[in-house]
Amino acid sequence: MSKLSVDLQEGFQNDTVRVRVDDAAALEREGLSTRRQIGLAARLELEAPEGSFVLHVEVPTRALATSERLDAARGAFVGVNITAGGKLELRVQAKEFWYA
Amino acid sequence: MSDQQKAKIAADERDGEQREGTSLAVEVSGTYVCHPFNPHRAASTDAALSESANDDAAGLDHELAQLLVASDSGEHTLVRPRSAAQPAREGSEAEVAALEEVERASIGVPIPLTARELRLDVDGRYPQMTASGNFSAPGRPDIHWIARLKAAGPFRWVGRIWYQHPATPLFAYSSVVIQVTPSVYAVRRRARVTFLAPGVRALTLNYRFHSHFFHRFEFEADQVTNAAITLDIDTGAHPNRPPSLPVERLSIREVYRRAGFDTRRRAGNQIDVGGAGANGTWSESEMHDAMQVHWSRFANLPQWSMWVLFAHMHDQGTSLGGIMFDDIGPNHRQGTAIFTGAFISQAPAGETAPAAWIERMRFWTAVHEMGHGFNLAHSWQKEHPADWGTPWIPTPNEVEARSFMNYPYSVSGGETAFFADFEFRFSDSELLFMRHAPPPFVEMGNANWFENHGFEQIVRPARSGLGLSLGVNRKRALYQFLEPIVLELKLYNHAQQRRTVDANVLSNPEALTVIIRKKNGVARQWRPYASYCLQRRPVELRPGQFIPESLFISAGTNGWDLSEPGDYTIQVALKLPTEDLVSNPLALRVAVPQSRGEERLAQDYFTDAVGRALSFDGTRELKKANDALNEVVVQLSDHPAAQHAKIALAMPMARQYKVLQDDHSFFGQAAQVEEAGKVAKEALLDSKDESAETLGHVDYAYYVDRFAGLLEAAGDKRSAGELTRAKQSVASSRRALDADIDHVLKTAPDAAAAE
Repeated sequence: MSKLSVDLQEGFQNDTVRVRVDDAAALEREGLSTRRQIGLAARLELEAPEGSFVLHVEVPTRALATSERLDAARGAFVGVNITAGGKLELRVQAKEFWYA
Repeated sequence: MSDQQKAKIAADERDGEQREGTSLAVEVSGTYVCHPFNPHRAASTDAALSESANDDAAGLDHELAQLLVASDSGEHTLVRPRSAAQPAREGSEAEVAALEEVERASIGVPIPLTARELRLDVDGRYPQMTASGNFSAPGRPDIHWIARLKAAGPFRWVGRIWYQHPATPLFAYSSVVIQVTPSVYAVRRRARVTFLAPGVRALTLNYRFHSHFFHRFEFEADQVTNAAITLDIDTGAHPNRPPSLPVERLSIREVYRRAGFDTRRRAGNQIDVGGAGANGTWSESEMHDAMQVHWSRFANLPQWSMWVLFAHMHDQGTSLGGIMFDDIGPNHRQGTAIFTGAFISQAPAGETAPAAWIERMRFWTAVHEMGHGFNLAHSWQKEHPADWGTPWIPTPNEVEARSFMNYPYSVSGGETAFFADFEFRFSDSELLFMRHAPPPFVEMGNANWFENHGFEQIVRPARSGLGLSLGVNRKRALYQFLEPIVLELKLYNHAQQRRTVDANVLSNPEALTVIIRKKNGVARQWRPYASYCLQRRPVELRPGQFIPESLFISAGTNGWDLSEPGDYTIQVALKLPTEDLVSNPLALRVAVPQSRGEERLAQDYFTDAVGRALSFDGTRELKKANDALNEVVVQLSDHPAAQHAKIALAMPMARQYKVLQDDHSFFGQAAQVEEAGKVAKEALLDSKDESAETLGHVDYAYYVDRFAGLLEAAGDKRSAGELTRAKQSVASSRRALDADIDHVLKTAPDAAAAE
């Protein structure tokens, strides 16, 4: 297993977020709101399998969901954003996100 | 002249001589204050105004005339553009006649406004070609205006006023002409501003130069003993920089001076955390407490002053380089922190100039966090839905901006690309906000962070004469718990001329933005369950006529925005092809539950299904919704919610109802007109005035017509007649409440036909 960091970033306002890795429920958090001055609502630390897996992110409070196939070797840091247009977007990178 | 005044003039002349010695052109941007001998508008005599008018007519040029024509819609007497082949000559007869034409159309109502300041932004660092200023009026908030300028001659600018706060008819001007009398000596510098609008008496005011800056600002940088501090930077230390970037020692103070602020840094304190033990990181509340103890200027007041703490690390750890932590309590944005133990002090592997990288990141972070203190959002947060907070004006995102407010890693090409073009500045839209937004939006400790950017204040009064009114169908905007909230929206023609509008414009949710803000809560945008694409239906509104529409705003795809007891403010913006209209803010209250029964029903009532059933006038398929509505009818028969429930239960029964089946075929359920009529009569006749109050007169009339027609078609003419008479009786009652509603209900839909 490897560590996966999922940052819930822009657009959250008292929302519920469910995260699954492949078909296993990983985490559910309620009442999440973005702190605008840093652009971050919460950081979720997960265990992910080595190699390829599918990350599912769902925001039931807005009827939004998305998923993406990831490879821990290529990127273990995921940023999740609800765009101004109401879409759920994932951004994956190999380096930790930072905030200011 | 006092010695102090003489000394000031002498110092100013030295400054002027230095400027002359360096052959610099005179810069005239900065703050001007209204001359004390100005005849302000209340005291103005016709003679004084005529004199001003004649003087200013000398410069009323072709461009201004075009501007006035272009910015108006024909209802006023206009200054006609002169032929380009006959350029205006200074003081020409034609120019005087042009301005006199404005004067003749004047309504000339004296209003006691007193001019205060003028901020002129046309040269110097990052000119925004903007002027702004304010007027005060007795017992009212200051009126703030902003105009976009174009050069119209030497030290002369013209421009349209595009922003006014608050929206008030007291200030009716639409354009400005600014003539500056330049001088290398600041004390001799003057600005003369003529405010103009077709149909309104021109107003000319004299201002004297006060400062090269737009506001004063000070900050105090305190340092925790285990943290580093960076207050300035060598811009040439890192090799990745724009080739044109001046190599200099640049301080935070100088960055904010270049942004237009007369910036001073107060001596800071050292904060010893030796007693903190193992807990070496900082939480928001710890920083807020420290601010109150260590900041020498701390006060629970708005003031152009900020506390900047250089600490080692936040509780969040190394991923947080800094934060404007002060969104706590009544006075936000007074305190920021920079964490020099965070990533900003960890140069990436392979970095060729690690020390310079660290200094630059610390410097960038400090200026960035202080920018939040000025109420600046991140570059990508400017274009956002209302429930993120309210922007001061609609502003596009600047995801690629090389601004202090953008994250370097967020741009295309990442941090390397960012710093290759970064000129250590704020973007133009940020500078516009900092320099020219109403000062309470920017001043630390004033408007809340990310809030109060004045949705209700962003739009000037409509120049077309159209207005948007939001109201309720009762004397007090008090709603019972569970009671669906139906508001009345009216598009008025306040002008003296007829106006053509789309009769369906208020029925198009795409054109409407409805903001709901619970007291002490965040603003949310009402999102209706459905959008309708309606054919445009032009109608002419005569002066004083309006188009009404009801708004059921209790529920939508956001859920039940108005379910909780408490105080709410609601405001609506309407997008028309030529302008945006903003309604009055409407305050309403939702009462607390009056019984255990109401509380118990709430669990099944405040659901998406019930929200849809009420919004779409009922359903035969959402069984749980119908069960909940039946429970309301049975258990709360005298409650206003029961009237809505009865309508939602009766409407689907009133006609043959198509049900989509699993095999994708439709099954038609027979109409039950008799049963529907019985329920509808209970809802619309038994307590007709109460029903009209909770359903709203617009919807009440609609439902009565609908059921009366159905009952008549089914042969029950007696019941149909009862309903029709009830509507007339309710309309009579409404006339006593609001004399114009009946007029509107009768005339607005037929306006086109009547013409």
